[in-house]
Amino acid sequence: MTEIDLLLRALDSDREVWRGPLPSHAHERLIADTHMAAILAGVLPNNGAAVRVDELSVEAGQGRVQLRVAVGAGSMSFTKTFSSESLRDDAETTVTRLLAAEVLPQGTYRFSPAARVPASDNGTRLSFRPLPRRLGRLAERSLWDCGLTSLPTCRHPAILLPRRHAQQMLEQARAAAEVEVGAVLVVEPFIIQEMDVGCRLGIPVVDVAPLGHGTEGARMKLRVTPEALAEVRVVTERGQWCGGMAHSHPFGGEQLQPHFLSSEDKAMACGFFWLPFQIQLIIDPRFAVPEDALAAFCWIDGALARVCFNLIEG
Amino acid sequence: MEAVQETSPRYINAVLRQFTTGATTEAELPADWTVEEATREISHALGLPSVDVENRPQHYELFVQRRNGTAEKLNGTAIIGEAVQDGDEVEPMPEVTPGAPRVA
Repeated sequence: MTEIDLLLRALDSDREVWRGPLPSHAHERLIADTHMAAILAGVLPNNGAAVRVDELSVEAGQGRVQLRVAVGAGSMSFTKTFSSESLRDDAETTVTRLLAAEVLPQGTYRFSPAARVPASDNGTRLSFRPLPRRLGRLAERSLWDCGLTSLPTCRHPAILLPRRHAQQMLEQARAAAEVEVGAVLVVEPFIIQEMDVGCRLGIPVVDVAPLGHGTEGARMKLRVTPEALAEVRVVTERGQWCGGMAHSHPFGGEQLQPHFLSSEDKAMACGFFWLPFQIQLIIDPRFAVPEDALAAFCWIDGALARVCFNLIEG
Repeated sequence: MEAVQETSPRYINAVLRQFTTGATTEAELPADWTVEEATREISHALGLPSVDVENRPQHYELFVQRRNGTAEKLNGTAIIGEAVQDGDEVEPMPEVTPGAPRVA
């Protein structure tokens, strides 16, 4: 399997200013995305089994760079091609980190992926078996049974958020409108039975675990401790997963629209919540109803994108 | 002449759990590592970030789920050979800080 470098060039001079390995979770995100696409296309079985990686390569030509990922099981293999935009969030995170470390000066940079020879030494002193790559067996459900009155045609996963959970998160955010608050989302991803939808992955939020807030002294920043994450109950036997985070951005004003993912948010999502059914919700506590207050982001072809979501009753 | 007995390093056969995927794998943890040292090595082996977006070391705590069903956070200065037993499942849990950039 090819490993991938991230290459940064100064926009004004086109000079290469930095090159380094992409973190392994970026590779794993594209592999998981490809695995999910293969299941949704019916090419690989939805049986919870692990897949092998048949290919992970960088293709350059005609002025653009693409990534090819192939995963397989038994005699079957499925290939997906990603544009370099699939690494946009990793690139932003990397640039932010390099700026913080003063490796790069303030500036404007463009990025591209490049193949690298895998290191013979994996850099660990630990003797362990490779982790299996599996997504778990997904249930199949009808969107009609989930309370939707029309089928979504968007090409992103259908996010189903019970109104009571949305209201709960919003009330938590509005009760402490000067500090960030957050919650861990628990989801039960499923394959949508209806074929005439833009994407057959459904992501219902089935639980919301509120977290502490403003825990860095007098600062407004949310700090989620390992203990808080460890206490979140996810019933894996029911097909539940830790589905990502919701948190508030309590700094909206006339000039600033809080419905965005900051570099910190993207680093968190890229590092810890990169499975195809893990999402991020941003709450603007200035608004009183979830339709206005919440913004949803999910992974589309390896990159985070703002998407619509469905508020459901029950 | 005094005979010196060489002892081979002792290992704990533990199960590692990856935070994002929940995937597990088996590993031999050197019994003489501290929990802090093991946490660093395990999180690296499992592909978890080693630094945060501000280029500071990413903070993790190591949690153990024992075969009898009990679970606890391990103290960083504890020794693996004393804190973890064969068959225990260990998982580095991250500290995450979403939100807007810090205001100086």
